[in-house]
Amino acid sequence: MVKSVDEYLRLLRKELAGSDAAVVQDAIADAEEHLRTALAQAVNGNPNTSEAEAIPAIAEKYGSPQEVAAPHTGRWNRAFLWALADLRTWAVNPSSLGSLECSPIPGRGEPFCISFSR
Amino acid sequence: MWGKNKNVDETESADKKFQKELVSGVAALVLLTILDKAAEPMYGYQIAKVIDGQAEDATVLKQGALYPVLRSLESSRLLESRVEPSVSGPPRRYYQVTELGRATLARWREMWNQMRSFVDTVMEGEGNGQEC
Repeated sequence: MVKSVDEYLRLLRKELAGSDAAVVQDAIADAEEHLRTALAQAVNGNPNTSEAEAIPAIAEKYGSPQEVAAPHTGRWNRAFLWALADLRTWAVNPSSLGSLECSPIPGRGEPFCISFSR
Repeated sequence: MWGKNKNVDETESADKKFQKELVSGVAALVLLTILDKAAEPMYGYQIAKVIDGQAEDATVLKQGALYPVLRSLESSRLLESRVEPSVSGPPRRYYQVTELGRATLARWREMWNQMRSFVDTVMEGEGNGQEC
């Protein structure tokens, strides 16, 4: 469980490793702005609340570092399609499954998995 | 028992996929609409609170998923933003709709109404195609 904004940002940066530098910068800036604003609101509403107490609920609503990084890394698509393939294809014919091809969506830069290749 | 769990897993995966596709399809329309209705430019946390207040299940759209859509709308010139310092935290990026964004939103509303009407018609229709 994440206990601080700094820890969340560290984990998010780790998840985004290998992504475009501008994407990482934007994602970290957005997360920091949102989490610190939400934290300030939570503490203002209840001065007895510590960062460690408030951050888990704030991070849950924002999304885990894995969830936030997924649109940028395409991991969610891969995980879902591999799970689907695992359920429907692998059990029938393991050799029928090839590698997954992912391409960026023009103008958006989000990886989009389009097909299996063998 | 294993088969039952497998069916539950498959159902949950299908539901999550459908929900994800629905949300990703309408997120830009929702954000553009909220910002169009706003009297002043808004920053991400404010937008998230508006959605929280209007969604029956706010977990449908994780707050962190809003920001890439905002960035994408800005790169498409439908939104513009400026960063301002905050007294209680890091600088905030304020978004507002551009003229191009308003014109686009008007078209998207029309498309949304047509799509909603189409889906309602299909779902409420009786015996679709069964008599052929």
